[in-house]
Amino acid sequence: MGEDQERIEMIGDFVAESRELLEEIEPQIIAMEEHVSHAGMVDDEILNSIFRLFHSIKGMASFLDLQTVINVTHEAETLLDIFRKGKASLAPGHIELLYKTGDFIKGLLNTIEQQLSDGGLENEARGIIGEIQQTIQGIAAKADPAEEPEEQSPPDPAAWIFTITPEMIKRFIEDGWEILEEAETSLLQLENKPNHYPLLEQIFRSFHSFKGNAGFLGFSDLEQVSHGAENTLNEMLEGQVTVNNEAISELLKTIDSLRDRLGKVVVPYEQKIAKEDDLVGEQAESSSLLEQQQVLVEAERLPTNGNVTGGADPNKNVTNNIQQAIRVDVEKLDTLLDLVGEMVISAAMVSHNPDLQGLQLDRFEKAISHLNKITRDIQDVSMSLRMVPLAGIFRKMVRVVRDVSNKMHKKATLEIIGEDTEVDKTIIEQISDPLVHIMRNAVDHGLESPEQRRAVGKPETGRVILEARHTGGEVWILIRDDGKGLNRERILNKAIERGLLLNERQDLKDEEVWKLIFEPGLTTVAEISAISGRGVGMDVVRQNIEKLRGRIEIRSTPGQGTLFIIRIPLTLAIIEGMVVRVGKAMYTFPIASIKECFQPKGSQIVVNPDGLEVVNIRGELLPVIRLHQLYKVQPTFEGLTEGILIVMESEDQKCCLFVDELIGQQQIVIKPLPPALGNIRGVSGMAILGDGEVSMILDIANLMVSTEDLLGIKTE
Amino acid sequence: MAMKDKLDLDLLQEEDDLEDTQEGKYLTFLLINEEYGLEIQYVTEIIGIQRITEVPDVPEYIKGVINLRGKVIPVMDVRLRFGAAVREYDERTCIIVIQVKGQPMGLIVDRVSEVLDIPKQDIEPAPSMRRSRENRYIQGMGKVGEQVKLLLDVEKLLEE
Repeated sequence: MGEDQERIEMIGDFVAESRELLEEIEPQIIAMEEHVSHAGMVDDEILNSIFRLFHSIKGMASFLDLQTVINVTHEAETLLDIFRKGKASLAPGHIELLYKTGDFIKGLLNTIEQQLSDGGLENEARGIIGEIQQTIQGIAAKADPAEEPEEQSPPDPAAWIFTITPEMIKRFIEDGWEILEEAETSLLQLENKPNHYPLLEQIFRSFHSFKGNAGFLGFSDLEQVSHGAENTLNEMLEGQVTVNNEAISELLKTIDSLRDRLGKVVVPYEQKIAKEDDLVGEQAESSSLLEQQQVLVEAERLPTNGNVTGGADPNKNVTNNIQQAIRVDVEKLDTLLDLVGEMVISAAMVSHNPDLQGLQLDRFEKAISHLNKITRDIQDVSMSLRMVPLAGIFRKMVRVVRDVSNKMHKKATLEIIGEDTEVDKTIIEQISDPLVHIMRNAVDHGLESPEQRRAVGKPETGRVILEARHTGGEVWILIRDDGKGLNRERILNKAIERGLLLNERQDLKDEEVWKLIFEPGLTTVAEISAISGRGVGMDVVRQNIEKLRGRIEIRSTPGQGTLFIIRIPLTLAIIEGMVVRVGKAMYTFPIASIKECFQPKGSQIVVNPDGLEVVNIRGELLPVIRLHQLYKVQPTFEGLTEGILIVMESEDQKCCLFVDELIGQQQIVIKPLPPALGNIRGVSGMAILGDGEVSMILDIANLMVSTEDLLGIKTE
Repeated sequence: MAMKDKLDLDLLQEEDDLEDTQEGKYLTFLLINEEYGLEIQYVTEIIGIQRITEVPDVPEYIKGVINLRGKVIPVMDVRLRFGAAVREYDERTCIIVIQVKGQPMGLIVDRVSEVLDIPKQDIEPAPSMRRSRENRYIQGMGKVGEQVKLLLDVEKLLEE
């Protein structure tokens, strides 16, 4: 048992470490690809580091005797070695192959995690190994007859007694989407080079492995359909059928149909695939969307059903042991966080208790400060439990941008800013889909083709910037592109055509027009591409973000690009807040947005002819917003010199807020705004103060916009 | 053993039935000198009037929000919702906290009375000839002996 346990632990470590290494490989490959396209040659350093990464995986695998992993990584090493030694130059096909190898190893790791060995996957591995070997042979041009990639005798099926576990079906579904996606990509490429033999073979293999998996798990209809495609491809390979547009369309249809069927595959023991209604609704329209929902469903299911999954497969139980973590029901975690929030409030209620005022209580003070410290520590720890950096999702976008730009023949670079920004786990789960959509759209619809870009004097390579940051009580995710911007006319026409707008509503503000793109069925792309443009997607994007009580804003300038801002309130957050009083009302500001507070002198204040008050702070002129006017409450002071001015900063805007007095700094538990209240100008959430009273948390950015409306100042 | 299992099942069944017996039960309260009824299934609790934080940008009948053990809950003055005159809150003024479609809301009423059984056959549709504004939120009239209770349509009440 001891020895077994040791091996289990070692395998767990191996899987975790290899995953990390693979995650490093992907950006490196992308970096290499960029370098090749810019400098026209391979950067040795990057190449070496990729080589090392594969090499480390191989090293660890040989220690554990994971033969399949060793074989695959070995081939990858051999391939890379050729480039390292400068025997050949790197072509896009090679990069593709490296990606595939990485993906394949990822798949292997999943299996190893479950069955603690990589047995049974030799056949699948042969595909990729064969591919690498062929490439190597092609490069080396000195064919080695000993290395024939012919099929060897398949493993004796009886030697492996398989029970079909739900995991396997889940994996089959996951893999299935991937295989189909790959096949689709290749088919689309094939259209441009119909005589490209390796491509044809690759597609053949895709269908072949799909068929194999389906057959193995007993999905006979999937097996039959893919078998048909396999036959066609075989005939193509043998030259009996010509590869033309029609034939490719036919195969693409087969892929669609396979996806359709795959979408209906039900993982047993689960209450079917959750959200099936959604799935059925969009199935016919966008298969790529389907795929993402699939992923989302997986993500949602995992936290709550972790135990169930474990119980269904004895191996899984073992795997759970090796992880140095405990799976916790998200609900329990939420309850804990709620309670911690209440505890913070209660502790504040004790330490600020009015009954204690004026009393000299040294020992009590000491005890309470200790309590406060511990409360704060508990709060920090419990908050961190649910927080996950956005880096994981953001890195995936690199691949999305790359794939879409390749597929759409665009050139694009992706810049990532603020990937360390931590957000709540639910945000991660829900945001992935919308993000993929927006990124795809940014490249597909936003960026122009290299020719068009050159024609308007832009660099051929378009830029997409993905940024995350905390602003006030919100997480902002910004997606910027420097493409052609949204087309106002086109959106309006489409909306009228769809009956979303009446003809006479041509006087809409730009922002209102942009919002129309979130309407179901509205797409402005004349031709539907494989990736986007079917008019589903943006409405789903909005739905997902609204589920998080978030908002999405669009800013767009024709010819210069589009900016999407996803703003999501933090589910539960405790911030340092400044509580201020205006009349009887208490408002709270995040300390982070306050620059300074002061009581102005009369000489600092200037009033414009249109009634706008401006205060001069060391030469800087800032507009004054009277909070009591904004919220129509009765203030104690009317004169600016009697109250307090708070200088606020948000984004690149600054302004002064006029309040009666400062109450003090406090730890604030942010509570969401009750949905029944709708949107309140300038309010991002509610806080419960030490005395139990509810206070509105003011969001500076919002406040400025609403005040601009109020004061009639034009933005920009 | 099997027998016992079956018995347990029956017991469970009965508990389910108990849940169902909420049907036909109404919490009645006094408002503008009329007795109103509200299906008990919506009610989470009844609390006394407490400090309300005013909130801007909401209809007049939304008085603001309260802190109910750490949860921020909006409260509606049902008098104002019906377009009736404001009445000073006193020690009998209550907030009925309800939950509709997962959203909590506090309803400020003059006085809470009791929980009554009003069977379906004793409920008449709200007469349509009355054109008073409050009629919009009435789903029926329940007859209890000589008295008539106006049964609130809670979902309509919370609609914009």
